[in-house]
Amino acid sequence: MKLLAVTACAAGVAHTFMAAEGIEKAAKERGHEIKVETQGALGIDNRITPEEVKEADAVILTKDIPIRERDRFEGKKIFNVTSTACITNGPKIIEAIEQNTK
Amino acid sequence: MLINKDLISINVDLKNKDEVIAHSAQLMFNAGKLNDLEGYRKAVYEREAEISTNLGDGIAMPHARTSFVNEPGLVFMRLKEEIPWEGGDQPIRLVFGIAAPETGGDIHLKILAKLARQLIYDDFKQKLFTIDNEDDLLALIEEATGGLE
Repeated sequence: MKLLAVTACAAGVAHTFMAAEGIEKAAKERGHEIKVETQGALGIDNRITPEEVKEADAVILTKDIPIRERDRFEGKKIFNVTSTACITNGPKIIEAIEQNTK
Repeated sequence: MLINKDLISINVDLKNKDEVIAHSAQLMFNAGKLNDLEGYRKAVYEREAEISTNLGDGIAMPHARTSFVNEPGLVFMRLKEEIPWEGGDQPIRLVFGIAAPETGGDIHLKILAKLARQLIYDDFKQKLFTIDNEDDLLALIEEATGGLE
């Protein structure tokens, strides 16, 4: 699958990046393509393009704080998860997406 | 240099968060990273009061960006015993202290971001908890924050 994710957290520092790494690792381990945008204290990094949105099978968004420019993903299959879940339970999230996009 | 052996302190006997923050600030000051020890220490408390830097898994990252800092510094401490640290449900044993100058961009945030990404890897965490040789720890941390000076 082609997956996209956007991570953000209240302070915009540690959890944003830990979640990004966690979900990226889990997706790749299960053989999927993934691009992760981080919305942290450093601003928006690794920004997702409209073409990538068009091609994506599913989008993972952290729900700790509102994701900026969320309307980009309208019409896509969206999975809302906590940043903590991305860090500690990445493989479970990816499995759930596999089940729900069949 | 962001970090050197003098900024690494393992099996250090500190009993609470206050002692940890004071020790981290003292190491930074001794290494010439700070121009005002007390000023930096207060700035760390102010940042900690906004949102705790307890990251879970036994790790905290107390930090501050302030004019009391001369140049970016990174401290690594492994405590002899776990201590409580509000803002997380787990006690703390590993501490990364970060000092960043007011000017000079977002260097401390980049350090934090790079370290945070590494901290999800059990292998990296395991090494931080277990390596007893300071040279090896220094090499590990330099690799994890690589390219940032």
